[in-house]
Amino acid sequence: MTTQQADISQGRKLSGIWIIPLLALVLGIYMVIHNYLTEGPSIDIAFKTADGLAAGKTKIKYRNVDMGLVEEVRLNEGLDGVIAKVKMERQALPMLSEGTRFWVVTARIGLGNISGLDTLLSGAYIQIAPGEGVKGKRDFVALEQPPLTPSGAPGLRVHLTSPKAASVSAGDAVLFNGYKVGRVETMTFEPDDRKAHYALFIDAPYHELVDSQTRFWDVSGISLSAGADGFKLDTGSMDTVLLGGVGFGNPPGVGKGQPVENNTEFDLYPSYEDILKNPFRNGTHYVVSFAQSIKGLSTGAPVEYRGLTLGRVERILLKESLEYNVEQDLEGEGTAIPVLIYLEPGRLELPDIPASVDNMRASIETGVTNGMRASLETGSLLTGAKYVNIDYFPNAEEAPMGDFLGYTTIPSIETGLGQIEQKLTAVLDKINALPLEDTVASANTTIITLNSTLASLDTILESQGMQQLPQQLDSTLQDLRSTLEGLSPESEMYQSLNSSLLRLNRTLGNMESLTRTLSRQPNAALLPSTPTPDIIPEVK
Amino acid sequence: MRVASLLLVVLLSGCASKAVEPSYYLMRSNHALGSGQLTPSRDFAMGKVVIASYIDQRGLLMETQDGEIRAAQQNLWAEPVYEGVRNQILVAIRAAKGEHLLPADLNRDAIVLDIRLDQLHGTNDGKAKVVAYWWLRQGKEVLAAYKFAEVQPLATDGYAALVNAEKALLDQLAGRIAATLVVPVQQD
Repeated sequence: MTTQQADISQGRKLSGIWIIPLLALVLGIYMVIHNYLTEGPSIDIAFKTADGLAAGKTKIKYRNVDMGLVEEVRLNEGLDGVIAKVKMERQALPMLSEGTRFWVVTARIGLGNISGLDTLLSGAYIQIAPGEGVKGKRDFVALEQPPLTPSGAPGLRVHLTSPKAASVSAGDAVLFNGYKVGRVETMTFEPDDRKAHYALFIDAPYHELVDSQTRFWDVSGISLSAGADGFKLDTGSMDTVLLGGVGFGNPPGVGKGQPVENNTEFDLYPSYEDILKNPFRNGTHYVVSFAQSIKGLSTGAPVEYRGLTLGRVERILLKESLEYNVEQDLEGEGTAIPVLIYLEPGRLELPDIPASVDNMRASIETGVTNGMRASLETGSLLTGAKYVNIDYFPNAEEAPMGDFLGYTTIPSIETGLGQIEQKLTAVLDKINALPLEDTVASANTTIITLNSTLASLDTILESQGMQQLPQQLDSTLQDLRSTLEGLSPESEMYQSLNSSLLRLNRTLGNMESLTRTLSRQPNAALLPSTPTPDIIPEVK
Repeated sequence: MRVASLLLVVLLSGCASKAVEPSYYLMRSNHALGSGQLTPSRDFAMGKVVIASYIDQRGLLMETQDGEIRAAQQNLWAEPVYEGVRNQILVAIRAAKGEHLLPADLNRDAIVLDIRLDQLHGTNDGKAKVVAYWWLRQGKEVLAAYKFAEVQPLATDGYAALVNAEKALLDQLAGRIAATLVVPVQQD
């Protein structure tokens, strides 16, 4: 008998039907994970208005590549703007940082350019500009206007300030020697400091033209000036005439400065002429007080050192002087008038840096101890314009430097016309003190006496004897001439006299011979003598 | 008394002796005589002729062997020496140059010739000796100065030969002087 052994099998553990749900589950998990891994983040962008924005239509683009899509547009809680909810692509994730900017690109027509014409057909879109900063930001505020400088563009961004709003506005050109090298990005007016602030971007490589000595000036519009050489018309390019612009450069005579960093602040000068007037940035204030008339001294008048312009007169501190006198109880004492001057070491060809100011202050301090003084001089006798001169006066009385309302003072001395005026006054005082009346009376008496004497002399001269005197004198001289002619070598008397003198000479010679003979032979007069024979010349 | 007077006359007449007559010499140039018009020099004039004091005497001078100067007693110049010297030099210059030098006071713009005669005597070795200096001046400015010192042997013995030798030397001196009478070139 065959024994059949039953197959022992275990019971069915899981029905095959479960494969489908499991597969669906795996697929679902895969899809979730895939979706998580490939889906970009959702961000909120705040706009002023929803112009050009449409949910499900408006795209986010970067370099014309789609980076996301506006999913929803809703009003913000304050109802003063809209918030666009944007689904970004995953590849846009690295772009979302603190410095990322968004703006709506649509057709814009301005004075200077026309942009975004392609959006007329394709519709507006949102442009994203990646930025730097902390990653992971999801809430952004869109720019109202497209940024003028491409994000990440190489160059230099500087800030300008001006006391008044110039005709410069955002988008205007920045020019170097008339060549456009950048643009004005923003223009704001801050009520706190009451100044206009401008942000400029200068493209590389032109940003290297900017250094610490660079000056910026407004080149907008047309400048018309009249001078001794006629009218002068200055204009920039046509777009700067119409739209405005900013020029920059280093003033002549000012050396190259140090390189500057991003966001360095500069002043915006109204014109290039203003820069030429005040080309230096470093200087220092002093106060000089004059105890004389300052008529002809005006703001802007030069301050010179031995003919070299060293600075300018900033202001006459009249109000401050009056207040100071009241405080110090000096009213009615005729105190000197303080004048605020501004000295710039760069004018003496020193480097236009703060260290030069310190050196100049030290030099002035030493100079004052050696007789350096400020004086008021007349620059033009025609106009009476005056200027402040600084020079050495070795004979000046000792005077220390002082302080006036926080400004260091340079002692002054009175020279020039003022000093001459004083000396003239002193001389006139002395003349006034002279006993002129007594002197004049004495002189009158002397003149009367002299008149009388002259009248007497006149009487003498008019007398007959005096009238005949010249004739008599002439007659006498003629007689004298006749007499002298008789004694001339050619006259008979002269010849006779000469002959007599010869005879006298001969007689004297004989007398000499006789005397010699008598001294040798005393009896020679009585007794005959034998003459000594002469030596006979003999031929040898 | 009569006898005494007669005796005195006899005695005095007995002492008397015959006097020796001196010889006189004239210093004049030997240049040929001639009459005619003189040509005055416009450029030069005669100034002073100064004679050394030992020469300025009547007797001719001789140097002894002892080196003394002795004036002759019997051989005399017929006129003052300076006149003779002046005259002889003037004549000799006129003969050499063809122009007569007027006195300086008659030609005030001319260059004046001044002469000093320093020696004029006979030497003991039978020669005549003349030493002289002359200079040309314009106003007080001396333009040039020269010296002449020469001797001349005597031709024969005696004073006449000495005079002739001295005259010959003075003629030489005049010739030298005439050669120096040249108008200086004006320098711009």
